[in-house]
Amino acid sequence: MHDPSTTISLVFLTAVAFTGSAVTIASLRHRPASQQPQRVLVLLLTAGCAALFFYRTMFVHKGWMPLTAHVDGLVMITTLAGAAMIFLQSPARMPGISAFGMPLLTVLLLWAICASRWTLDLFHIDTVLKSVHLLAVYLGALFIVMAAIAGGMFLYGQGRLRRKKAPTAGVPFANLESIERAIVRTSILGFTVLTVGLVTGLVIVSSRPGADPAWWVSGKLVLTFVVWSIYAMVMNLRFAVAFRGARAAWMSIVGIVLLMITFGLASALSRDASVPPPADAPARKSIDISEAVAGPCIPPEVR
Amino acid sequence: MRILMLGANHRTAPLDLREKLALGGQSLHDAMDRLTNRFPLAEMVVLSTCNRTELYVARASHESPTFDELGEALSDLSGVDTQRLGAVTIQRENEGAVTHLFRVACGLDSMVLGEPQILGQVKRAYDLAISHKSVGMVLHTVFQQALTCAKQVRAQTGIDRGRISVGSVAVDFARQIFATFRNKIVVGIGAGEMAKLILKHLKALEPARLWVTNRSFNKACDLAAQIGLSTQQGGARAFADLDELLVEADIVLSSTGSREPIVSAQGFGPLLRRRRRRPLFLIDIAVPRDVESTVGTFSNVYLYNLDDIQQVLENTRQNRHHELGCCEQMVCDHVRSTMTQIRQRDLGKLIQQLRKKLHDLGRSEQQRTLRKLASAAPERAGDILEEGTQRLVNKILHLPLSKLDLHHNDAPLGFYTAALRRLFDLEGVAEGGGPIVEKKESDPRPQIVTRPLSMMKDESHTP
Repeated sequence: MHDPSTTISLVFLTAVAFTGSAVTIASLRHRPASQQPQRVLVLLLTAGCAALFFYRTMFVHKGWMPLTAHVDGLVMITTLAGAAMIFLQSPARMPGISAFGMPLLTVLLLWAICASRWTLDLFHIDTVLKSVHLLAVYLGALFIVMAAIAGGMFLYGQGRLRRKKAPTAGVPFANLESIERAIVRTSILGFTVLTVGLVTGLVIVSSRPGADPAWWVSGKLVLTFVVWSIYAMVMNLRFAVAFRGARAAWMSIVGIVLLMITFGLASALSRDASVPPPADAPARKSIDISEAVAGPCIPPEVR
Repeated sequence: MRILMLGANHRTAPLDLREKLALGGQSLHDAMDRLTNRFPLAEMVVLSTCNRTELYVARASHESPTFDELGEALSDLSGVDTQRLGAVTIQRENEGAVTHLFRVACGLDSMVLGEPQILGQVKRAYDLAISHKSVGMVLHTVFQQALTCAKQVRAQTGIDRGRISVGSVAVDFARQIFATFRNKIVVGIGAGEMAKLILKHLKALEPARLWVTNRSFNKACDLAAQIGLSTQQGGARAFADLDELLVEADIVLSSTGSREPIVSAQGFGPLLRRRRRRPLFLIDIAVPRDVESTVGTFSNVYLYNLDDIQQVLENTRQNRHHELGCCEQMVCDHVRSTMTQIRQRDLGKLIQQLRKKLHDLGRSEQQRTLRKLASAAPERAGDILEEGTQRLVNKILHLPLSKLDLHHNDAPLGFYTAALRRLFDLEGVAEGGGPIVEKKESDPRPQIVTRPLSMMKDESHTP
């Protein structure tokens, strides 16, 4: 049920995000006469994604249930991240965030184009737990995205200070302490929410009727658990060796890379044969929640 | 209307003279009173800062004060004799005076190019003159346009961007690292003048504590007193506590006279672990340096020495100079529009006066003609009206033509001739009293009337 309007809209929004990336990155080097073009582009992107999300919910799926497919999740993350950037980019909060947020949103939108064009498989949501699971996974991913944006900002800001560059040159930029605080808070929130997503996913898989006792021996689940463990270790280690400065910044960037790898690899692994499809599954093509969470952007013939 | 500027500044007068000329507080109020009493018909603003004292005056043409009178007034106010004053003061008139003011307000004439304080000083001088009721339409226009121009220049160019002192650069770098200073600890090592200046800047950030340490505890106490530290804000600490201070501190300023580094990489490593990798901003302005350069390579340690800060200042100076051309162009444009505004206002007043004068002439002639008509026979009405019209025209022409002195060698006859030709649309008149080409409304064909110029002037005297 490929919707051409969705793909076309996503292509347009990706172009906006790409333009915004170019403008905001250029402003880091040369102070522009006005910040207005950047703000307009971020606003346009956010409004466009919100409109697309609403359109898909009301007119494509014709229901009140959002997150009906992976592309919806990606559009939701982009919308919320854009809204966060609009709020944070004022000089009093975290100026300069757009320069690091827009490229990442461009990547997310490119991913969404893939998800809308090749792998538009609908989620089979029939319980509240499954909705909670999906929401937790995507919101957790959102926080990890924001942490990575802050991590990039920290490394750039620190680099400027190491190069002894005059503070008033270029566009106003957030201070390192604020950025570091943002990394820590968004990482904690992301980890917490992703943990909720993982736990609910485990409950869903284990409580499926007719599930194999060895249901947990699944490539996707093992990989997801390993990545979660790495996160858990880092979150606890921060109290021991101080999750600070460039270390925290690099970890937040590694975090999003791990998240993307997990998503990609989990979808590349075949569906777990010990988990038969539900008996009451509708005839139309649908996939398990756990696979939907992986959000594949891999053409079906490769999977 | 004429606009005059007389003053001395850091370019023309040495410091001791500028100190004598400087007016502030009550002395400035008294000076304004004395000047307005001395020149009641003139508009006046006095701008007096540590680097300049300037009098801006607007007055009618041919009225007082002249530059000499202004010089005498300034001499009376300051006690500096007029001869000495004459050697160090500059004089500007009309467009030159306005340009000077605009450049001053924009910071283009300041000791530090683009410095922002001068704008506030110009505004305060203007406000003070308003309170003394010594500002009229002309200086209102000039000063308001000067303030507008200065704001526009600062908003649209980078003339005031960047920092111009070591202390402010240090604070800017600190703001790049820390979000708030209320929970931060600042430590100053050493007790020199430069350290004092920078610590004052850092104290203004209101840190949780500010400690000063020195090999001599008494000097540390003196410095703490000089920068006004209360016991709640901090104070002096013994030099033996240096390691503990380096663990506690978030910002460290080092400015000792030590020949050897007092903070080495080897000694600082263990302290870094105790700090739990909290960011540390180190400013080392000592020569030779107090902090080994390798300390700056540690994680979360940001070390700046004097060269780094001077480089920032130099970049600021160069950037401001690059903006100078653009600023001068904006000043030129503003000056041009301001002078046009003033001249148009002057012209407007002049035209009003001219109309009134001519209307008064017309009314008196009208009264006379009406009296004659009342007592004369009806068949004589035409002659009486023509006689009245002739008289009116002659009276009007008498006003300007009586000023033309053909026998005066210096009279600008060429200027007057061109003006008359232009103003009364007499473009057909040849030079040297040639034939006049007149056009009548009833007959659009040009009629040539030959009349010598001297006869025309004589006719104007006919009652």
